[in-house]
Amino acid sequence: MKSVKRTDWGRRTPPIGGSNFELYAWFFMRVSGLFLVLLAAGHMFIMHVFNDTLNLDYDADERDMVMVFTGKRHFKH
Amino acid sequence: MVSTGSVYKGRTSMWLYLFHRITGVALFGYLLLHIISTALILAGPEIYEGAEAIYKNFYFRLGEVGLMAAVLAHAINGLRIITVDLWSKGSNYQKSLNIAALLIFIGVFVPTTYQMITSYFDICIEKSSAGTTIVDCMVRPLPDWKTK
Repeated sequence: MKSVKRTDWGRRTPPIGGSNFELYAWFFMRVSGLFLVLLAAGHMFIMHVFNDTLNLDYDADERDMVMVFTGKRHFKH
Repeated sequence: MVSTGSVYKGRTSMWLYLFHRITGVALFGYLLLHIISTALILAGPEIYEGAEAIYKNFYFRLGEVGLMAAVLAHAINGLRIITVDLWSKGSNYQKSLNIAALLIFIGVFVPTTYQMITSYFDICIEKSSAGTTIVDCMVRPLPDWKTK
């Protein structure tokens, strides 16, 4: 297989009559990614750093989610 | 057949592309299990806390650290990809961005791991019977303390 140096990066013409679906899908992945970074990383930090999953139980509520700030390691009775 | 070459030329960015796909699929698989496990809360306190008790040991804590690593690495690598794609000069700084992503990952992951591990031992020793050591907390399949 012969290999030739390619020089036309970014200059391929889009197919005539094609839709922009791929472009929008590509852009959606970037924009939704920005939101997901905040949501997913925030969820991880709340559950594993600010609180601890060892404290999870059926009755856990938002008051249990401040371990780091209160210095309390657990809230059980 | 004439090959025009591949977009991905086998260097760091290509391995990061592969890494992003692998962590993405792994996190998606974990997410499905996570939703099922969390949905057990609908079945009442006994079943939900019974399921949670399975996770409350040191082996799962190591797994949680790995999960945190996958989430952070995928998130930070995703921000790198967004920067390369949407910043007009992004592709001129790919090496710098690779190094920056790695340094940011280490800078976030190391203190996070420290907190997750020390918190585990603090809570384990606090809730366990007197005389329990860190080694006990590590090797014991399930802690001898209850959630209540």
